[in-house]
Amino acid sequence: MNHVNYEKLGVQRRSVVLLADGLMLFLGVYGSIFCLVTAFQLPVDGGKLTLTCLAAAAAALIVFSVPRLGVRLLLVLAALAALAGVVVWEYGQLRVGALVCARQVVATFGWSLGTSAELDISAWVGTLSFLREVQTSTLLCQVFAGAMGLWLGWLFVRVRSFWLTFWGSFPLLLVPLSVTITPAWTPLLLLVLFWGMGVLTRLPNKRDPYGAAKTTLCVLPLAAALLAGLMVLLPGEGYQRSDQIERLRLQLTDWVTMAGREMVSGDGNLGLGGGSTEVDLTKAGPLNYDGSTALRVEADTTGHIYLRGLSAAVYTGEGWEQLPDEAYEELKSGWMRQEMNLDALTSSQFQPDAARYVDVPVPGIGDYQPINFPALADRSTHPQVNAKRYIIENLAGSTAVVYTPYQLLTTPERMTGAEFIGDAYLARGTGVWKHVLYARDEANPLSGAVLTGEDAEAEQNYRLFVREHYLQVPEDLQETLGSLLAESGIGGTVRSQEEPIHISEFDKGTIYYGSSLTVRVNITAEERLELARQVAQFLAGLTEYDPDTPLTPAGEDFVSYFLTESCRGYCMHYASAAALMLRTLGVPARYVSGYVADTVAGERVDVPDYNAHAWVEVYCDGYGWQSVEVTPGFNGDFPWERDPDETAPPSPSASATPTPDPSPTPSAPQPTHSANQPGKAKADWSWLWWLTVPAALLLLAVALVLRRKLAARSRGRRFADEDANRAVIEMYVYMERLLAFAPGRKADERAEELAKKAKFSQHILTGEEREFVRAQTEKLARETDLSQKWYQRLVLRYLYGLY
Amino acid sequence: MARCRIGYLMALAAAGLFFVSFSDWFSFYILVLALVFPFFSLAVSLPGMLGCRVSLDAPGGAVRRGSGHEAGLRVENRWGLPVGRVAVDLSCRNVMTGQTGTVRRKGAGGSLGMDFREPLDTSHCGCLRWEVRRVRVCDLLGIFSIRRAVPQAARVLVLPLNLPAEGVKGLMGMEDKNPVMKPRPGGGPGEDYDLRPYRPGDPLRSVHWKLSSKVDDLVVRETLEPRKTAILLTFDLYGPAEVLDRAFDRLDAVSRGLIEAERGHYVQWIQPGTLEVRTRYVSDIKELRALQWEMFSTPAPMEGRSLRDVGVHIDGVDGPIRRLHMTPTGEGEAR
Repeated sequence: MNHVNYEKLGVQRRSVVLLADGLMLFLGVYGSIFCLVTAFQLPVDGGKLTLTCLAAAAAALIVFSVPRLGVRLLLVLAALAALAGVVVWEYGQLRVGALVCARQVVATFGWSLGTSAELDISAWVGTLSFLREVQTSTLLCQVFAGAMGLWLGWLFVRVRSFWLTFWGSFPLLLVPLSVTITPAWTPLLLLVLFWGMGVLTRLPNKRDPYGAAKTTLCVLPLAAALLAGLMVLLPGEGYQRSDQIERLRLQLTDWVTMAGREMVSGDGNLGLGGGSTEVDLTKAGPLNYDGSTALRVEADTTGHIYLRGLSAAVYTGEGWEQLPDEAYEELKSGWMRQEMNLDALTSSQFQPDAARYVDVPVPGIGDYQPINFPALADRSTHPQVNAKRYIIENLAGSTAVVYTPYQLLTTPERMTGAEFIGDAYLARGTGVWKHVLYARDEANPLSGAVLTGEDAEAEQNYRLFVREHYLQVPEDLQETLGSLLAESGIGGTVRSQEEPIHISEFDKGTIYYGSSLTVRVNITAEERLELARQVAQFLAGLTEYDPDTPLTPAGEDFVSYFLTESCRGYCMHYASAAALMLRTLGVPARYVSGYVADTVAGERVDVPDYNAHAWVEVYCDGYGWQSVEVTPGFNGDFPWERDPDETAPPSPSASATPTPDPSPTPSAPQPTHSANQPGKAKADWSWLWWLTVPAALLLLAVALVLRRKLAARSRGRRFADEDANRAVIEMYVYMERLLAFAPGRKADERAEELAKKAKFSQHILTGEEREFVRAQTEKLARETDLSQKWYQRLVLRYLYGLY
Repeated sequence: MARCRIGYLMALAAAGLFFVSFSDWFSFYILVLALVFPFFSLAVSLPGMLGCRVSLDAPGGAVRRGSGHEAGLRVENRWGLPVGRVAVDLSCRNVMTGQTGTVRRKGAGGSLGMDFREPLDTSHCGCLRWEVRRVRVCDLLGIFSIRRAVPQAARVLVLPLNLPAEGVKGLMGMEDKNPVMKPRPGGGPGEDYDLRPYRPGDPLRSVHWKLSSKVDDLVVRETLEPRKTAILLTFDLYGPAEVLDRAFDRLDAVSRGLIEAERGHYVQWIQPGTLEVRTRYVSDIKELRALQWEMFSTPAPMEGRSLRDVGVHIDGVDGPIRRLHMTPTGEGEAR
């Protein structure tokens, strides 16, 4: 198959190709450069830059249209040398221009990202006047336009590849779009027009450059009309995206963010970098951190805080799992609980038919969230104390949860971008990575804070739920833990009878666990916390803290292996063991993971990944869950842990009236920005009219050339009519038109006679007669053309389309 | 075309992704543009697509077996506009041997015309039918396509090898010693003649007046000439292509020899399918070519009935017939 190479085209056709290529190059260079200029509001002289784009396009066209390789290479080298020369000669100016442009780019990026980032260039260049800024940045953009012209010229004119041209120019638009900055419409649409025409002529461009050029010249106005028409039909003012699309965007952003995090998350981050809500203890091997920031916290308080991620209730031997959803449904709506029929058992009269257990209905807690209980208790007891605000941004923590401070006051109806999942954690909302939360940081179970009223009723029901679910210890572990605790003497435990009697007697505060242990259940919060401290001390004495603890061998129970075999571990090991030991002692406890942070009031602090941590929560009746540090070497800063003489951290100033719960600021996604952002230097756009005049002239030229072509084609078709008589008549009519511009000339007599014969007689002209008339017509056209002055020839050629 | 469609779908997916992830109005504009653009492309491409014409250009008439000839395919546009892509499906079929070859030729642009050259398969005798099965023209984006009219098929006759004309003296030289005489049409002088009564219509100059006066009745002198032996060439129109090629080579050489010797002859074969015996008279090259067109345009099966086993008979020929049966090995007997 042959195809028409550019070099094989005649002069006329080659000029058509050059015209089309030049037009396209100008669109590409102008569009690319001015998209950047308008997106970042660079201070430039628009008129000069437009002319530079024109010159760059023309130069590139000439350079890359030269057929001979050697000459072309020389021209390319000359162009590059010229550019390099300009850079060297005007290095000082270009440097200033680069700094001015960089300042604008940084400001625009900062504005778009919602930061106050600025680049102060006065240290390098001093104070610049606006005129100087314009001059230098214009010069820089001109050099860039020259380089861009050469680049696009090579891709589009020489290589003639649309895709390379597209990818060679697209990144310039991608830069502002990546921060949701849209350039001005004119260069943007011209660039889109450039790409649109490029893709339309993609297929024929390489093999039929002449055909592609013709298509470009014919279709370009139509494509421009299409783009303009769409702008009119789809008005931008008042544009509002539907909620579904916005939700989809958030989900997409979420997915990308989570996928990216999963790719880069390390192995030793306690499994907190992923999106799971379960803890896999089989992966608890040597810790490995890279120091990257996991959270960014801004708090109104100074101190060492624990940010809880998630807690887990069910220990499986290989990990911690959440309670089933059905359990939380029951917690919310109510459930039936089995209790010992104490009346029958303790009655003085023997009742052989009495049931051993009875079903007792327990009302649900409704919309109450157990995570809020400590804050509610503290608020009801110390209403004068204000809550503290925490802004927590999740950068590399678990993607499934929201990290919250303790004593969280923010309730579900005031929570945005998160959802309470039972009593375990807050699930992160789609697309929301930053949350504003309120907490009562000074609350503690030893301060006398108690829930009242309906809050207390809900807590009492929840307490029963806690006892059902947070005292469970696997059977195969009970013996081990029981023996250890019995030997430890924690809480004054004593040996009891051999028979395993499982009686739950909450009123009497006694529970029998196995055959070796007797503990009391119904103990105060202080006693529970004291037990927790004793367990922590016991573990510190029994085991050794080692961040390089290897994985637990497969098949081994995690806690059992830690306590009886390896006796070394880190926070995950200590938290797991302590939770189970406390449960064995009759203290409801659970495993918790999150981060610890040292905050400074009013400042933003970065929480590194190595601050990931695990600890235990103990349930205090009438109060709620209280965190307990059980890992040796980690000192908490909880009020109940301080010595009485230790000065409490400064408390916030109390207001005269109880401060109502402040409305939490919803952590909405960052708004996108249009091109109308405030810029530092306001550029003058009046130069846009510069573009319309040359564009109009160019369009007019194209139209005139097309008119001439179409007229010639139509004429040729008419002269080649199958009906010879009709063809000759058309030729004679054409001769009459020519004679109107050639006074004193006459048509050939024989040709006139034949035309009359064709018109009025029945005679059908022969081929010879037809050819004779055609030859006379062409001769007359040539002579008429030559007899005109140059401007008359242009008019007759392009305006009248005569030849 | 499939690639273009897939590319468009990917571009549309990218526009959709851009629309979802970019909140500004520009993303909506780009999505609408991506949806509308293929139809715009179709609209501006239609003149070029509709003006596309395909014509075949095959070597006129006949070519020799084994010669390197090409057939041409030209795609041009009435208005000199390019098209996105054009795909032409060509097939070349040897009607006699049944061998078929198909090829697809693709191109783009073509505002000044596109020419494709395809070598003709002249390895076997036969009638090559060179036809365009389908012409599809795509728009500039390569997404939509329409069919265009196909040109008339071209036929090229692949003649046997141009072997030297065989000596045919064996067929012509052995004339009978006692030839059968027959009246010469048109009369004329001659040594041998016969006398018979006058029949209405006999020319007066043929009347033997001297004898007629003696017998009181008109007697006509009829000039006689010896009856020539009819030459019959037979062959079997079945078998593998190579076998047929050799048989045709020989038939062509013998026939041309007879034509050069100005000896008209008959060619006979059994027509496959109908099993009828076909006989054609050949007296010049034109008639030989016409015969070859007819023979090579007939599909030849692998097996059939040989004319060798059939008795010699030519309708309208009473006299002796000398027959030569063409075989691939050239062992045809003359009898």
